[in-house]
Amino acid sequence: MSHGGGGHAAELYPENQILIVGVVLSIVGMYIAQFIPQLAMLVGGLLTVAATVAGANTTRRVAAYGLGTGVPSIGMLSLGMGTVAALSGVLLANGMVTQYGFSNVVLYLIPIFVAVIAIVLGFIVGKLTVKPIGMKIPIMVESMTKLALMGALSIMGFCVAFAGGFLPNVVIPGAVNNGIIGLAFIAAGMAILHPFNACLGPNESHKRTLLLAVACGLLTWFIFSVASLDVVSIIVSAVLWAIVYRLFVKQSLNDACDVLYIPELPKKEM
Amino acid sequence: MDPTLLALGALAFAGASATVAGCAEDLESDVGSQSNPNSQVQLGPQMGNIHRYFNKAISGEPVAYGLYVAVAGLIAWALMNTGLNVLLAIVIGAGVAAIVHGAYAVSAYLGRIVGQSKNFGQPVYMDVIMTHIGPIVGHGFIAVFCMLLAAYLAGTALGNPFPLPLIALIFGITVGSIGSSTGDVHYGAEREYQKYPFGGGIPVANQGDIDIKAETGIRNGMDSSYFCSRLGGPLTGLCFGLIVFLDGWRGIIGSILGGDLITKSAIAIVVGIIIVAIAAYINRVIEVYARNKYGPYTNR
Repeated sequence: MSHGGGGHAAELYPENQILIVGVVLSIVGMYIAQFIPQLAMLVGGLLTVAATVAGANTTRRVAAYGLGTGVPSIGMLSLGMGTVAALSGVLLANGMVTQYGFSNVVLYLIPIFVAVIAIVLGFIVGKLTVKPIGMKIPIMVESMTKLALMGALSIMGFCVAFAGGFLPNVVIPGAVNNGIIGLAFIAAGMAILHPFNACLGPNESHKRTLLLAVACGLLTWFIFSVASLDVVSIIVSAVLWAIVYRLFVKQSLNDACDVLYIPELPKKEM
Repeated sequence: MDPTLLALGALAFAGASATVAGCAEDLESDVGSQSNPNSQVQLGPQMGNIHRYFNKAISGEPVAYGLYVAVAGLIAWALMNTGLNVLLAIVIGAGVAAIVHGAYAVSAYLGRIVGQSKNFGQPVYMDVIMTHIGPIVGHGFIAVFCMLLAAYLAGTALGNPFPLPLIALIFGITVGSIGSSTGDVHYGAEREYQKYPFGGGIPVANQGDIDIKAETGIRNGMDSSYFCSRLGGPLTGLCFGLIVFLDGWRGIIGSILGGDLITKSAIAIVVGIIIVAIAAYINRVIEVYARNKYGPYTNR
């Protein structure tokens, strides 16, 4: 597709740098949510934004290979793998303790479990997209692995922030049985797929895409804050979102060739 | 009161609100040229057609509506758990979803237009954003509110076993899909290519060569929505309302006639098959009638 171009513009920050920041911050956020449940939404939710930003940045890199209409699909695929990894990470640790008599310490490794399962799953799906499906994107396996990881951490991060902990007896009744994970799937998915889907084009710039990624992540955090009825988080997330969104709008108007306020088409040069 | 009567009433109410939701959803997506027509709007400037359409590239309609209705559903569910009035909770949920919708819509327009602004000379029209965002968010609010109402009825009166946020997600994806599949036919490519003979499809050579002039003045998304409000929107609503109504109705017929669970389910399945057969037959009759009346497409 011709309109799938862009995304090869100079990178503001290297992809792996953003990825590492996203992984570390979101996992730290989950541990904070687990050990200080009063701060679960405020700190855990904020740090999970890093995971969605990193996911959006990876989407930008892989979708720049001319996916066009495939940008939303790859975002949904990322979150699909993420949901499987998040649920199986929680249930695997739970099963190890209840069925096979491992010590309870295993339960405190759930975020690591989720990350490792996501990496393995993403790698397998990436291999499948190359071998039987035959997509000719050189960074496909690498990107699928990263997307699965970021999808899993975003889903898990928001679920843990909402439920107030990642132990199976907290997160399963608090975020899975009541359907919160469904919203985490679609809202975090949108935050991952929308920034590049919106900004793609020959004049795409990494700065604008990243600003929008941060804004979308903060908006997702705002949604979860409203749902958890946590007033401090609602105010902080709304203010932060407004600041970043304003920066994005300003940057966009700055980068446009012209900003018009009247219904007039520019004259064509003959 | 008789539970069967209550279920029938709830079903009629859910069908009615689904009808309104489908109509509002389709008209909303036409204002913003979302999903199907969007790629042609996107190609316009590359073919030298500087346009004033609203380029609302928020994924496809199913995913976008899944998000809005799920957001509204989750917030309404959280508020209902605190003991707030159901209707008020649904309104507040739909309100937050409208804010989310507006934020995504403006960022999609700015992102897509600026993403090809310098290369192809497409300016950002601030007045397009200002005039279009109201109808987009407003229609979106109506659609989300009605869908959430239907989802709430499905959970409380019609025996859907899932929690409200999940039902809302599924209902949102459904209304988006119907709006995209039924509604886009009425806007879609033909409206953007009115200068070419009707029914000819879009050859690759013409792609991106969209109409930028309206009946009067320069065309924008509002003209498309006005055009579609005659047939496209109401038909989408009718289609979605019928789906919700007939699907629920076969289940209720089953529970009225059947005794145990197996007979109930069997009757529901048989009624479903009969409905599908009748619908397929009517479709075939209309298709044959249209072929006989208008004949094959000729290029003259």
